[in-house]
Amino acid sequence: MVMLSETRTESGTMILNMGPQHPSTHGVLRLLLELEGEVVVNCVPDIGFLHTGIEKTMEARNYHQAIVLTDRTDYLSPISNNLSYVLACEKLFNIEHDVPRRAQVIRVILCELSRIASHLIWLGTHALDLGATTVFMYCWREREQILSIFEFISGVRMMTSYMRIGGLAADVPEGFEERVAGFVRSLPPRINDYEALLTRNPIFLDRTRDIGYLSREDALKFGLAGPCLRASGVQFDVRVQFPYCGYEEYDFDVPYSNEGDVYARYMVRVREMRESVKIIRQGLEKLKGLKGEEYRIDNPKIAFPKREQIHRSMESLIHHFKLVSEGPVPQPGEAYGILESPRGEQGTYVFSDGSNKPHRVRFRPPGFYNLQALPQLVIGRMVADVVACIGSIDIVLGEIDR
Amino acid sequence: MGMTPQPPLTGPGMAARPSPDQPDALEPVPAPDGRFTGAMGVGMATVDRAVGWARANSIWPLLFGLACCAIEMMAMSAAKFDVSRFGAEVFRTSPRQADLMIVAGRVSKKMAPVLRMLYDQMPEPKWVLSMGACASCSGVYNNYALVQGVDRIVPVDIYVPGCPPRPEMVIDGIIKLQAKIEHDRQFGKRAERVPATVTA
Amino acid sequence: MAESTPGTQSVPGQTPQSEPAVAPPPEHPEALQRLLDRFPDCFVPDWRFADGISTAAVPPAQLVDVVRWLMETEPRFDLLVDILGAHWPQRELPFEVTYLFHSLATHWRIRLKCLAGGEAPALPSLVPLWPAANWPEREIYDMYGVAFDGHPDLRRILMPNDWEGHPLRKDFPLGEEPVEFYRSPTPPAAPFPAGGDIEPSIA
Repeated sequence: MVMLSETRTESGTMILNMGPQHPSTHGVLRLLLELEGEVVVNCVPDIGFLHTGIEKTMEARNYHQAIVLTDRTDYLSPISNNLSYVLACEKLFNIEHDVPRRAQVIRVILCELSRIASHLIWLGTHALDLGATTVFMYCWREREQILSIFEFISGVRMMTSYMRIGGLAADVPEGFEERVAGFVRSLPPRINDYEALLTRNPIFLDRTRDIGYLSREDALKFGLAGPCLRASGVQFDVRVQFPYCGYEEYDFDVPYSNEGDVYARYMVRVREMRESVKIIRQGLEKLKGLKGEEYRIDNPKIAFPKREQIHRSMESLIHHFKLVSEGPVPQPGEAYGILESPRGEQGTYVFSDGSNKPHRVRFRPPGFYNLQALPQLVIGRMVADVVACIGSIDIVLGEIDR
Repeated sequence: MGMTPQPPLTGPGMAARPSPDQPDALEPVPAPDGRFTGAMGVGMATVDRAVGWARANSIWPLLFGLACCAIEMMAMSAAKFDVSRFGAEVFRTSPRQADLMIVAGRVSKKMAPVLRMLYDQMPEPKWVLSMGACASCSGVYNNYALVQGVDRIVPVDIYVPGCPPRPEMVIDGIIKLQAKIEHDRQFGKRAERVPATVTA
Repeated sequence: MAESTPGTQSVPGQTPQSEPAVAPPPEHPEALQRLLDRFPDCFVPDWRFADGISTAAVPPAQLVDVVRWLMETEPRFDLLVDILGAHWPQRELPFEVTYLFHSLATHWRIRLKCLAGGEAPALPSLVPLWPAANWPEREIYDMYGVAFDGHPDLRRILMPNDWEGHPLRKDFPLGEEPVEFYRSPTPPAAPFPAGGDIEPSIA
């Protein structure tokens, strides 16, 4: 492995090694930059430093056990990972239309909360890379509120594993609605604060405007997803085009931009946070009418019976035992579950061979495709812009390397 | 001149050995806990303590995030948890300026040589905090891709469990490490720590 | 998805037992039907696609032509969603590579399947057509050892360069190490066995 930090080539350019330990590569990304003076001539990303073998490990666990492993792929929004895997399994078990409505609404609320949390981390670290420390501190403050909500419902701050095939692990506790409502009340003024610090800040504008431009054609060619794709003028959002968990009932806009530069990606994400607040408000309205309803499908072959039932009925106990020891068994087949994660189309592809363990699980990582376009963004630009470009595509190495 | 008995030598680097003339002279050997005893021990122990106190309260961690735990590590240094209250907030991005490596996340076999290189680049004295289940024992991913515990490649001083650990837990780990640093022997050779090598 | 029936496709032999036997398979969605008309060698595999995305099995020799046709003919499939591999050791051609395309005009999706096998499994590369195929193909090469002819930079991507073996192949062990508990009265438990405890219902 070449770990030299500088190497001079025959043509007079210089090879600069950036990463895997670098504060602005957002993880363990390694970039080989070929520089002519301060201009990037070539850029070769090197990934795999966080390869965890999650997909292989899932093949050795049953369908329920595998849920826990999905959390740590895209570790900025673990709930989206859970959900995309669970959606694929629900298609595989043929119960996608039977999931209770209360579970669907809570799923939507949690997904949007995790979208805000992920965008807050992105905004904080992106701004920090560009020299704005205050925004970092502000964003982390708000993120702590979201994590405390996650902790409130599941007991864990980040890796909640809250989704189950056919619904949720448990109902949300008393007081969930009030806490979420309090958070979404407080967030919009705070987004105004971030915008006041960045949106018209001349330093920020200089470092983001017309930097890392990606045209619509290039964005399609490289298979970009999510805010990066929408910032290049493509209006594609899985929540609108392939609605899941009842997203078709929510009224929200999909922000997009035709600029295609770092600033456009910033604006799209900030506006997405505001839209998420809108969705959460509507979700809370819906949740009011669903008090006390089921949060998990009543199918003892697939979903765990409730704790009270296990205490009372022998049959439930046997089902519970079977589900724990053996797990649910789907028909042979394959299914692709998708959702719009904070980084774009997050898909999980599950192959079943009719046994109790998935034959193959594949994550479709949006960051994998977004990062592939990075050379396109940085070639011909200054070294300092590389940092802005990496920040703007919002990569999470956990999902890229899996 | 030659007949007068030599006075016992004191001072760093000088050992007053017991001799037939001075059977009571003590050799300043470090006790098992690393402190000095004996004639020169008093002075050394005071210096040792002062240095230990200073080292413990000015930890400079290496800004080195691997996976999910890195996010909690950042949360630890950000608002609300604010690790600077405990004197460990100066995250350095260069290993040459750091003395604490927080292994925050899972270490893949591809990353292991890099991690070891970073550790080797850090100047002595240095400490390693293994943050989270993955760094300590590879957590839920017991498979081909991961190093099954970072203690196979670098010597670990303190393990913080959790997946990921809460920021409070990491701060607690740092406080415990500070106690360890403070009471450790500051000069001379530290306890022998032979790191294992990675086996693929 | 949008253009096809939700749930399972009624393919003979794979029909769920709970439903009464459905005699004729449903008519193919428009995009798939056009593809099958244009390329008679393609066919719909006998397999349950629980997500309802229309799927065609493509002979590897025709793959590049089919993909170019999909790109250029209305509705243009202009987004490469994903390329993934799978390993079915019992099959004659054990490596299955799945391509997923998306059309932004109609929001239709289509899935192509290619099989590879033999001593040195290989498929034509899509990188000349789609730059997006670069990394996924490298990943499949890394994880399954399926080579892609015409790929400009075919080397390992996730595993170290000197790694031996292809991790996602079924004959590659998971590599679990038994966990030894401190002062455990019992010997360490055997690692999780790979594959199902229940016999797969297909060969």
